[in-house]
Amino acid sequence: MKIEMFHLCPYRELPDDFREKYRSVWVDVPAHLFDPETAHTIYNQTLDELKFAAEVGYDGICVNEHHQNAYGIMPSPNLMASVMARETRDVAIIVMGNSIALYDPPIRVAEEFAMLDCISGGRLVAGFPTGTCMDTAYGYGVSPAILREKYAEAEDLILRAWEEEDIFSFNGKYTQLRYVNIWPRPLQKPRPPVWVPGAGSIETWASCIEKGHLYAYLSYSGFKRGKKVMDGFWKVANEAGVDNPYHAGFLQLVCVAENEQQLQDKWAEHAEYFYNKMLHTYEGFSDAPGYRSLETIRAGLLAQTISRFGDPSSDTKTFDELREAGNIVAGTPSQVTEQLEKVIKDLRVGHLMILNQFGSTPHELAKENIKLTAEQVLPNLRHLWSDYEDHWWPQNAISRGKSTAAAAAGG
Amino acid sequence: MIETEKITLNDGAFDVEILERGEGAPLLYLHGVIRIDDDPLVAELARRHRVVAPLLPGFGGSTGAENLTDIHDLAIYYAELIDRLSLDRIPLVGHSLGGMFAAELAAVAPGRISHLVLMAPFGLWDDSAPTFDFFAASPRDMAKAFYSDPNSTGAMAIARAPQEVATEVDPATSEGKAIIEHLVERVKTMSSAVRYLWPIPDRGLARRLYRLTMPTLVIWGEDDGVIPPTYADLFSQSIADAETVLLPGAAHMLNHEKSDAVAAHLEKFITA
Repeated sequence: MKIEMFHLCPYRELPDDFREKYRSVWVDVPAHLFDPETAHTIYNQTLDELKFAAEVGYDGICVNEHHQNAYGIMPSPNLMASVMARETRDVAIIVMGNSIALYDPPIRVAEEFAMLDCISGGRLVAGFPTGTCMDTAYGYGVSPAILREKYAEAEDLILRAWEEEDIFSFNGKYTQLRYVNIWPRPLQKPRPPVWVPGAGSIETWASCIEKGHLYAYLSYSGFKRGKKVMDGFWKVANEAGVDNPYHAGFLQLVCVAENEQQLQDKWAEHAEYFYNKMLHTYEGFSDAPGYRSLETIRAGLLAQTISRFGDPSSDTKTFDELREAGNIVAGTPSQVTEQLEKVIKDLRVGHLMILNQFGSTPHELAKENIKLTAEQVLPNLRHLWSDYEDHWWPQNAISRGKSTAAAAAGG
Repeated sequence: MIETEKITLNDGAFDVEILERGEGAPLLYLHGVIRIDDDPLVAELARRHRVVAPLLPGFGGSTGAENLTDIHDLAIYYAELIDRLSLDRIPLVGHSLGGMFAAELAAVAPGRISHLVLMAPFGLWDDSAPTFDFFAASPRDMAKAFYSDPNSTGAMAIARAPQEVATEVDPATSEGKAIIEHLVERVKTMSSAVRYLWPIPDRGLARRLYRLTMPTLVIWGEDDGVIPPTYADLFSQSIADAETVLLPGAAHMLNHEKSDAVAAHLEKFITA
C-alpha cells in the first residue's frame, strides 16, 4: 500500500461572509480578495507541509493544477514540485498533474516533466488530468467540445516525445511540429509512470485500462460516492482482466486527533470552511456543453459541485454531517486506521492520497495532523496489497511498504 | 404542411435534416442557437415561399458537428448543401448562430444569395458590449436574455428547464430518464454551438464582411439580452448595401416574439 500526502494549497483566508456575498470560489472569484502577502505565507507553508510529510513517513507528495481558484492556488504545480524535488530525497513527487490539453504546444509538459524527473533523480509521477470544466473551458478558454480530443492528441505527442529515440514529425489536428526533439529526456525509462486523475468520467476508465495508466478518483465527496465510481472502474478493469489494486488511487480528507473533543475543537471550523466556502462554485461554470461525454451523462454521473442555482445558503454542511457522509474521515488514530483500511479494501485502491491540510487549517495544526497520520495510521496500513506489484511507482522513489515487510521478515 | 427530408453530405460525414414548408420561390432559413418547434416565422414566410430550413449540425437529425473543425469547414458545408439542394440566387435568412452561418456562407458564395437577412446574428465582438454568456447562465437569467416577455411560453420553457446540474441522477427512474434526455439534447446542440461561440463568438467574420455585396437586412430585437442591439450597427457599417431595423417588444427570440413584424419587414425587403 502506498499513501501519499496531497496538498491543494488553498487560500486560507477568505472572508466569513464569502458564501453569502460572492457566487463562486472559482473562475470569477473576486481579485480583490487575493492578498499577495498572505499568499507568500501560504505558498511557503504549503511547501513546508509537503516537506514535513515526506520527512515523517509519507510515501509521496502530491500537488495539482487549478486556475482562477481560491481553493487551489497552484496554476503551475511544476513550480512547487521543482522545489520539492530539491527539498526531499526519497519520496515520490506526484504532479497530479498538468492539464495537457491546455498547453500549446503540449511538449512543454513533456519538457518540464522531464526536467522534474532529472532534478528529482527519477522520482516523478506524471499526472495527466483532463482538467475540470472551470479550469479548462472557463479559465483557459478551451472549447469544451474539443477538450477531450485535444487531450488525446497531447497525450500521444507527450508519450512519443519521451519514448521515441529519434526526432520525429508530428502532424496533429491541434499541434504541428516539424522536429520533435525534447531536451532533456526523462530519467525513468521508458518514461515516468502516468497517473490520470478523474472526477468520474466513464471514458477515462477504459482509456486508463487500455493504456496502463493509473486511475485516481479525485473528489471531495468521500468514500461513499467514491465506492460507486470505483466500482465502475473495477467493472471495466475486470472485464479486461485487470485486478491489481495499484492500478487505482483515491483521494480522502483525513483528520486525526487524540480524542473526540479535540477533533471537534480543532477541526470542525476548517472542515466547514472547506466544504461551505471553498467548494462554493457557481453552478453555471461546472458543466459547459460538451465537457462531459454523452456516455457519462447517460450513466447519470453528473457534475460534482455542491452549489445550486438559487439560494446560496442552501447545502451548507456541518462537520458531523461531513463525517457521516464520508466526505471526511476523522477520529483517533485507531478509528482512522480502521476506517481507512475499510476504504482501501472497499474501493480496492493501492494508492491513497490524503488531504491533511484543507480549507483554513492553519500551519501548525496541519503539521500535527500530518505527523499523527504518518506515524500512527500509515504504518498500520502499509501491509495491505503486499501480494501485488506496484507498476505505477517511480523507479527511484522509496518503497516503505517493501522495506517494512522485508525488515519484519528479516528480524 | 411541413415536410422533412434527410440528405447526406460528404460520403456520410454529415446527415442533414431539412424541414420544408410552403410553396413558391425557395428561401433558405437557418435557425438560431435555441431552436423552437413550429417556428412561427417559418409559418409566416411559408405563405409566400418554399421555406427550406435545414437543422444546424448537432440539432435534431443533423449530425456530424464534430467533423467541422473550423469556420472554413462550416462555410464549405453550407456551400455543399446549397449545391446539393440546387439553390441559386435565393434569399437567405439566418438567425442568431444561424445568422453567423448565413453571413459566412454569403461571404463564400455571394453570387448565390439574392438577399441576405441577418436576424441578431453572432459573429462579431465588441469589448464595450460583450455578448451574454448564456452557456454559464442559470435557466432563469437565460430566459430573461432571450425573451422580452419573461412570462411568455418560450421564456417559461427555458426558465423551467429541468435542473441542469444535480450531483447524481438515477437513470433507472422516469424522472432521471427525463433529466438525462434533456441534458443529452442540450449537450448535442450546445456542444455544436460552442465550436463557433466559445469562448468568444468571433471566428473572424469581420474580415470577410466585405464579401457581402448583396442587399442585406440586419434586424434586431430592441430588448435583445443575448447580443446587444448595438451590434446591428456594427454589422451594417461593414456591409456595403445594408439596412437596419430595430424591433420593439422583442429580444433575441424575435422570430418567436414578433414573427409577424419580422415577416412583414422581410417580405418588404425581399420584394423591394
